[in-house]
Amino acid sequence: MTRHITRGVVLVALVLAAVPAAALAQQQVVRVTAREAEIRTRPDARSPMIGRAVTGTVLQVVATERNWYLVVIPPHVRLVPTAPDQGYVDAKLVALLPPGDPRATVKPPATGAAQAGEPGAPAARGAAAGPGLRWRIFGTFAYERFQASRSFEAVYDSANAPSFGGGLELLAGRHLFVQGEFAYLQRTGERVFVFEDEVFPLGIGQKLKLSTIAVNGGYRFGGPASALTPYLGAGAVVAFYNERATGTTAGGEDFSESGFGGQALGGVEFRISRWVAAAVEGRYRYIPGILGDDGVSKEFSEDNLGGGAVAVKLVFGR
Amino acid sequence: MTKGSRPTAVLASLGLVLAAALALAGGAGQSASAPQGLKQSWLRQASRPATASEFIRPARPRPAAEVRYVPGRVVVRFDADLRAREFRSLAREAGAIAVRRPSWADFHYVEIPPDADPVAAAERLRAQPGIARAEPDPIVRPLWRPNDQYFNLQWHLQRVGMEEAWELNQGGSSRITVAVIDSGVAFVNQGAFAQAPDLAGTRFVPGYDFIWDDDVPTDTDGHGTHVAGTIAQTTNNSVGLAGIAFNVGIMPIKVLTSDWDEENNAPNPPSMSVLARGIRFAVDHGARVINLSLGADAESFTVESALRYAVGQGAFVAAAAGNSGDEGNAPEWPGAYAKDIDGMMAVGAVDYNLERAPYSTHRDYVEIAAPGGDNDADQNDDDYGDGILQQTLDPDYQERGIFNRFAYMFYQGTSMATAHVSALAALLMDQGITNPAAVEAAIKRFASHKPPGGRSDDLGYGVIDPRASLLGLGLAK
Repeated sequence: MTRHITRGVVLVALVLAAVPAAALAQQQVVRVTAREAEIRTRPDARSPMIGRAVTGTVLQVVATERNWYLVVIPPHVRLVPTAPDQGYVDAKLVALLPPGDPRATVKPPATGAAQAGEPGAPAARGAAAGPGLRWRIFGTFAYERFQASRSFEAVYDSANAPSFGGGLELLAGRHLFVQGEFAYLQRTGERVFVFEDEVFPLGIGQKLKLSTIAVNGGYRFGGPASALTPYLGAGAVVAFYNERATGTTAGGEDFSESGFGGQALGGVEFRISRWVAAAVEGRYRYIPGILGDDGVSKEFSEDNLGGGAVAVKLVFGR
Repeated sequence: MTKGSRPTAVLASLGLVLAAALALAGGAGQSASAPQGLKQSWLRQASRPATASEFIRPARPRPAAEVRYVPGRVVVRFDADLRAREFRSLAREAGAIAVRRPSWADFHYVEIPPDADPVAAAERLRAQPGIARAEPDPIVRPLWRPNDQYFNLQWHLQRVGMEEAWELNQGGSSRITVAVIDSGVAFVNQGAFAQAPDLAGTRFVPGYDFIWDDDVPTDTDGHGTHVAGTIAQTTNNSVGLAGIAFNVGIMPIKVLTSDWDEENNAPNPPSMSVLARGIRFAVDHGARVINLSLGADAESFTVESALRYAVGQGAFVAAAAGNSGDEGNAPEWPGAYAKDIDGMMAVGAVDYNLERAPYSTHRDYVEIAAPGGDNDADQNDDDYGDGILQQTLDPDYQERGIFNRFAYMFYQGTSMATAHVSALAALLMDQGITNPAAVEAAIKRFASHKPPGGRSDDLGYGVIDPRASLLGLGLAK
């Protein structure tokens, strides 16, 4: 720890020594005073946003235009790497720092993925900490579309079903993630007989409970301050399946089975606030070994308990 | 002469004739009294006609083999001083997969492989030190059991699991009509005829007498009444016996004759063309199931055409396979048509052990088997021959031309087996399987005792399993 602090102090000293004092005195700089300040392509609140700086970020002013400053956009504030390196910030969101103010230094981000400009943050902390690991939790609402659609439609009226779940995610640096996710769904339907594709409902209730545990890994695209972060991943799934006839007590109709499968997923995450993000995700699962040996699924030769799903996730954490 | 006018002298002489015929039948089986052409597939009377008073005896417990346990687990109570880690280890040593304690319980579930025998697993666990109690988990079911006086003698209903099946469908409903095309049914009090007391609560719909050409198809033999009883005997009335689909409607149609009918010059003989007319009448008057507990030695296009008409109109047909299994095994029609007609099934008979009864015809057209009984055996040790018991005309009176006295009689034959299948079909129709071909498929699909290879001439596709058929399919099972 002491060694890290010493190294940081030395780096700060080197950076400060490399910046000519005269240049510091002549540059006009502003400091973000709002919670967040959007940097836009034109001095117009309706123009596209190309950067976003949090409280305390120091920006170098190139020009002034009405109530807008044209500023240099530090790389860590740009939303996309290809954005212009200058943009406009509303003067209401920033404060002009007087010449010689010790805070008037344009700083790199404090950590690998965090936005820069925390008041008083040591400039060298990010370099010392590396990419970092961050834990996040999330809740999921998914709308499943089962591959065994004819079987599900026969017994449960529909091949679609909502599921609920949540999990824990570990971000490793800017791009890698690993997550564990639990999901649960329940359906009620009616037992049937199938003859030559004709389905005869029998008026006997049937209930399905399906729990899944998935472990996924993947890659996140985009920079640390990007508003939108696309991602792709894949993983393994364990499914716990239980189905039983309701309203009967003679027994023998319960069916419980578990099975392994895999899934691929992709989505886009967008940050709502500093600690909260939302994501829309699509995924496809393949879970063999539970369906297809008996029941309606055998009649229809459908053996995949997986299928496609669209999920909305609410993520808590940075 | 009509059915309504019967001179006493004629009745007396007929009584002698019938007595002689029955004596012959008792010694030589069905062929001794079988009329030419259309005949009852089997009408061998019980060697010892039994009256109700003879049946009173202590109820027997179910055989242990029939007890059903929850698969995949054993219920265990560990010694109080055992720690969780220790009893998990103990259970694993005895072959368990996992141990868990359910809520509201002073015991644990020890989970075992689903296909493992829970009785044997419980025994293994009991042998372990540290386990105070271990037992398989018996399945609890509602104890709806008909309160009919002699239900305990209806082994044939218990062997195919009717108590469990009635949990799903308690006797069907009046939406379904089953045509009993037979020797008539003792369904009405009219003239010299009386309704069988245990059919008092059974719903009848108008049928027809194709022998006497009238609309009062009463029974002068007893066969049709017996068959109708297996299908829809008034049940849970504290009297007599139970039927299978006791809420459906019975449409009596008479196409078979007794000796009395023939002696009294009934205008129409029991022939295939008369049977064909009876089938068409039944279909056109709303029958959804047709029971044909009869057979002939030769085929007839009239009947084949009528059968195809019936299934085409949405009626399921069950026909007896025949009773010559131990006497030449000759084919019988209309049963032999069944293999070529979807929605019609030929029914073989099984005994108490659910094995082919000796008399049951075993040919390539047999599609399903059901209890038909064996009066020569007493495999359930109830001191009676293992026939099918129903109330019907008392033969002591019937043979004298008296048709208002009734007795509980053990009959055997594929006729009796056919009634079981018709009744099951009625329940399936009531449950929602409205296509006769689908009814046939369901009965085959869920049959128990399936022979190796899927089918045999002895049992067809197996023995009926009413509960499984009514329960149908879930997604995975």
